Amino acid sequence: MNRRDAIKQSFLVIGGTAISTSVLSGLLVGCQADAKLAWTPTFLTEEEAKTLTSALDVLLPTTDTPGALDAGVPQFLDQLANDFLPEDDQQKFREGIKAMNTDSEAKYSKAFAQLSEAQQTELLTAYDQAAFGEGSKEGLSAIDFYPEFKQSACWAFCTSEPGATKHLQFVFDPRGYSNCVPIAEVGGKAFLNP
Amino acid sequence: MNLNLQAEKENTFDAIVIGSGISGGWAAKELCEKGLKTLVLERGRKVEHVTDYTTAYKAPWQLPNRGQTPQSEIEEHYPKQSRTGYTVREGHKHWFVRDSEHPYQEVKRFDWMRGYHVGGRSIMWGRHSYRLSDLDFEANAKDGFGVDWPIRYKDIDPWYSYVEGFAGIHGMKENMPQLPDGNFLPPMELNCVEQEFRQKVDEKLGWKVTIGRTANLSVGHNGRAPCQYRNLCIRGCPYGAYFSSLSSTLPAATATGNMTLRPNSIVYEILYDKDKKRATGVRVIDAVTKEDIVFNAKIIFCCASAIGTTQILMNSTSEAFPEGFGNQSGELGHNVMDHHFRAGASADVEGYDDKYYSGRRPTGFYIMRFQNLDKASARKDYLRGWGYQGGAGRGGWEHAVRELGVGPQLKENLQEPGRWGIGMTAFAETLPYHENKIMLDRDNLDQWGLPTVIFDVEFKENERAMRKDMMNDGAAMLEAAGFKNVRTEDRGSYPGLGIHEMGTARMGRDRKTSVLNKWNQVWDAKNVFVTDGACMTSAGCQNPSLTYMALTARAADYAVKELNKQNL
Repeated sequence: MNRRDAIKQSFLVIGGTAISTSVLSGLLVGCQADAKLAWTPTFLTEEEAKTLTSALDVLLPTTDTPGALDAGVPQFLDQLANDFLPEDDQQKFREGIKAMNTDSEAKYSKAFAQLSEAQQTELLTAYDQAAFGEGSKEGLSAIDFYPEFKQSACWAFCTSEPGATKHLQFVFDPRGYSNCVPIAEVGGKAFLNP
Repeated sequence: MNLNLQAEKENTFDAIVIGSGISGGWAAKELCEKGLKTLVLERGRKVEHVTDYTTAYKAPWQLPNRGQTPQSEIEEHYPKQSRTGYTVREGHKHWFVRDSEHPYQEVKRFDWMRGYHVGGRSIMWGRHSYRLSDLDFEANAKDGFGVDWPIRYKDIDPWYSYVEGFAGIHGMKENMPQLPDGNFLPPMELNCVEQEFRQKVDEKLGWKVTIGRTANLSVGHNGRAPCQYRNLCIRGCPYGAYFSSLSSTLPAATATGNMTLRPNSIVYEILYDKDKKRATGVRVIDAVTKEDIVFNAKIIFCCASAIGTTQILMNSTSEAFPEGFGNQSGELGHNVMDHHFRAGASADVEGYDDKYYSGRRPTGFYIMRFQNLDKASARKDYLRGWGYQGGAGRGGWEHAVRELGVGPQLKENLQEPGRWGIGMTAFAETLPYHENKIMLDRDNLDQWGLPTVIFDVEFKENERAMRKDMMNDGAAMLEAAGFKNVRTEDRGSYPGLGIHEMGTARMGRDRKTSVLNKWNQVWDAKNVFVTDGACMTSAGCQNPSLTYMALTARAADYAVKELNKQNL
């Protein structure tokens, strides 16, 4: 009955979340992903979980604000796949992760998690360029998976507590409305809406 | 014998109110404040203000599915309630019924969105509150669709002021006859893009963009706290900062000591004494214990929602009313109306990249009807008209997904507010058609053995003829304002989706063609009043709840005066 939400859905929101997920485990991954996995996957195999974890670490690294691993995004997406996704989407998720490894093996003769950070960045950048820029899709078998991966990762990160409160801004009770102010005067970055 | 007498005494009240939503809450408040011992019967569960708003303080990461509902759950429990696209999200789906528990039937698709609990849809309503005008009250008489309203604007004007004064509606006075100003709290502000839009539309087209007049408190009011700009109204407001039965009318009724509120009480029949031509009471089934109970009263207010009330009346057959309670006209259950919407326009906005806002304003803009007001604004392809609801705003992090960037660059992109956009959808009038009707399905019973509702309702030529202009006029305004990349959209609209069901027990001047008289009384049972959406003779294009409030307060005032004169 909140007509405003309906209007926003209709006209303003781009790239809405088609995917959702389950409980945030709260466990943080504290070590390099190409070493031993610091969490136990529910849906993915250990190998797939390593690929996902290292890809997320490169996509949304820890900087002066928390990154995807600080926010538990790998565990979250694993739980999502297990508890929430219909079977065919589960399968696409698994195959997408496998395809990243296929591309990594073809290009560098190593599993994705074994690559140097520079190589991982290079491969993700190639996907990004091919999906959203002018880059060639040739030889990128995970190219169909990548947009969904990026969307899910960003959504899971931004709606996590570290992502919402430390990387973006989150205010439950704004207690007032300023209708038109310079961005810098209201925190200088985007709000996450509950 | 003694036990029976005592039971009857305990079950006897001055007044019974069926339903505790917007209309029922008002009936309860008014009747209790006038000294009547009043029983309020609510079919749904008990809900306590504030403490039962269980998700009001859940951050996204505290909702197990971060706001989403699994497809499997939607398919099993919410195949129809999910048709809005926003009702069955994780943070507020507990306010909407499960189709699996509360089925209905469709000859043609009808999206019947509802919540069964104390407070009804006053918890989840859109809160837009507009007066009808004589443009609306005279419409049927002028073009011949439906029957003439038995009242005019002057009859309801003081009651609008009265209910606005209590409920708290904010708005800008605009002095436009088609949408009369109200007894407003100070308006919430348009943002800078909306202000420019208002100015340009006025200059170039002479049409009126104003702040959406909603029942959100821009300042503290009647002991209720002002809006905290959370825009999570649909979860229930812990501050009581928007009007609902729970925040406003039911506490007032409770304070009199005259109200008995009985949840889990499904009224399924109104009892009639054909000699006295009066109702004597109602028959209830307890939703939990399935006990069957009779309650008696001198007057009965039907406020169970348009469809809910009509369902009860249709089920109340007797020797005197073989076709349903008070249905000598044959109009009971007919003339179903809603508003049709989801056609409009949107655009990108340039020039405000360094501007943002803080706080989440719980309303947008409203554009007053500008078609078919007079000769100059007459449209040749259709009767009546529409207004728009919309808003301008910036997106959040979502834009970053499609922009180039991985690693630190992506993180930076996520922090950038999205571009400004502006969009609107029209809410348009539907005509009253006799053949748009509900029926009772006595073969498909609900879990209490009661007949379910069958909908046979469709939008027709007049509604369809409007939709092109609903888009194009929206685009014309956005272009007049100089916005970029103007787009039009018609996402289709089925009856019911506006959640403004109306008309199934209409008011009229003639007992042969209407169910209710000008005081919302059933013609042949003058102690029965219907003041929810069922009473509406035409739909207007305005969100209707404020009119139900005003008609309820007016009818309650009349009912008590008549009762005191021994006329009921």
